[in-house]
Amino acid sequence: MSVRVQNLTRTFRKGKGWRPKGDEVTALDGLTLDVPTNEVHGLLGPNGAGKTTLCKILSTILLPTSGSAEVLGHDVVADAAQVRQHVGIVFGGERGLYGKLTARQTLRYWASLHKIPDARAKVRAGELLARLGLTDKADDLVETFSRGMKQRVHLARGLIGDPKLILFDEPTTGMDPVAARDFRKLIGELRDEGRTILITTHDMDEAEEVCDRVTLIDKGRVLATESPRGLAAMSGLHRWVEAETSLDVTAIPGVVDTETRNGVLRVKTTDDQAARAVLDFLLDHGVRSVHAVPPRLEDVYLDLIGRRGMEV
Amino acid sequence: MRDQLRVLKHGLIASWTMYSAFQTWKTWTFTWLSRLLIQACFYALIGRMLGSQQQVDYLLIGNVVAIMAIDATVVILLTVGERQSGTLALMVAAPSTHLTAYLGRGLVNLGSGVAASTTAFLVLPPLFGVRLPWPSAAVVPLMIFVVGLSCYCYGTCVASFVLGFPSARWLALNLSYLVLMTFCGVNVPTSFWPDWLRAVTSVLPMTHGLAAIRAFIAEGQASTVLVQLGLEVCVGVAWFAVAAVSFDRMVRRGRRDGTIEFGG
Repeated sequence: MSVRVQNLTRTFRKGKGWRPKGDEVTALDGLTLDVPTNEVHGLLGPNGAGKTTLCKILSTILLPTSGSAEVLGHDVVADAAQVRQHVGIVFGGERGLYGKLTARQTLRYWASLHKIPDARAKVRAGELLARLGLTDKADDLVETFSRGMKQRVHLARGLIGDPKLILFDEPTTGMDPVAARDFRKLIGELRDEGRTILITTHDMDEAEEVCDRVTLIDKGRVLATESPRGLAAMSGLHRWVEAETSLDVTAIPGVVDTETRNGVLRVKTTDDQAARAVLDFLLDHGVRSVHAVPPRLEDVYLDLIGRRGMEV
Repeated sequence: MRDQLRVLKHGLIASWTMYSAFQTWKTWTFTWLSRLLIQACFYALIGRMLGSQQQVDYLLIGNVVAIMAIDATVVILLTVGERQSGTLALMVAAPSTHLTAYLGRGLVNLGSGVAASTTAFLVLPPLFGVRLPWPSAAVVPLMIFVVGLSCYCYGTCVASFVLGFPSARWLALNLSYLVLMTFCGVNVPTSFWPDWLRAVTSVLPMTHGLAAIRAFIAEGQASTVLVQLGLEVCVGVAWFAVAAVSFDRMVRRGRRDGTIEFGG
């Protein structure tokens, strides 16, 4: 087991200063989670659900209030030094980089902090730069990079210590679609190398595509842990219909919700009968591109957490 | 130990790269060095205005050495900058000790201080008629380096406290070196201060190192010079020890109260 979290609780006190005196806020509320070795595990939940708090505890930069968390059998509190040797952290955005260093210098610097001898660090930095398509820009200043390229430097930095567990906190923030696709491919490669990956994301498609299992978290608690497909089965009796149309179907009995994205209407219905009614309605109105589709991870997420969960 | 030296080395490479990104030898010479030289001249001119060569000697040597303190304490800004650039969490979560990484980050400024202070020591005394015991005065830059190390440890210690209050970094920097300028024998002899304050100055960096340099230039007893230098080293080690404990406490506190953020 790469990650074993049991009954983990973390509370904060609101307010500023040395000793904040505001209300106590619970970020994690008795959270229990196991992530087996070599699994890509997604953490999904609205802002403030506790995903990043969990990542911070697993990376040893935050202590739990109660409960326990182990990484590769090492306790994050008692054996923090051991944990740090096995964990890589990648977060999104532009912070966490030195703009005045080149990509290669950045990797060599962080390699030294991971106690990697210079000769090995040189080879590893070169390999990572090549792997992430940064060889041509290896000696350019990071501050001159596009946002997507900076994210690739983040990725390379997170991998420099050859970690067995990689924590990705919103890793595709700011990536263009091509870079995001490459990132998903990279995740697959990292799993093939035997690494365990814990990834927090708001991107349901990404979670569905790359994760072996996902955990839905809300208010510091686990709502469900399942494979994306298994979670979809939890969506109850709802059925979905997709069609390339702009017709209004909301008046049809049994239609729960509609959404149009990229010209495709997606209709959520209460059951098979309602879905059939929608299909008939659309076909009668000459719509030819129409399908009954299985629920997506996003649908289950919305069912369990509600629309507020989509507010990123 | 090898791991720590490697961190220091790459910290030095990184800080040199960042330093040289905004400072060339020309800008260093015509902005930074000239500003420090003018400051030392300013105080030496006060001595001249007082009509005493002894005052000129005292003020010039004091301010030439104080240049070192200004550069060495810049480490306060650099370490606090880790929090602003969002690298603090990554440092804490790295297997190596973050104290070494912090120490490595300001080494270029230490070098800049030694260079500026040494230049001032070579250039300014002839302009103000300050006589130096050449060729033995060539040892003085080494003594300045010892003072610089001691001030660097002091600055690192202050930085460890300021990390919790990043917005106070400039105040902390200015206060830190102004305290040294005011109380450590740069412009006013430490004997001027009341006993309790003199006791405080004896644990501040530069006090003993500057006394050693003054004694050396005045061709005082070698034992006096060595004792004062030894005390300067001890003071530096003590500040380093406090810095190490303080950094450790800062990280423990950050882990406890959640003030170490990913990317912030």
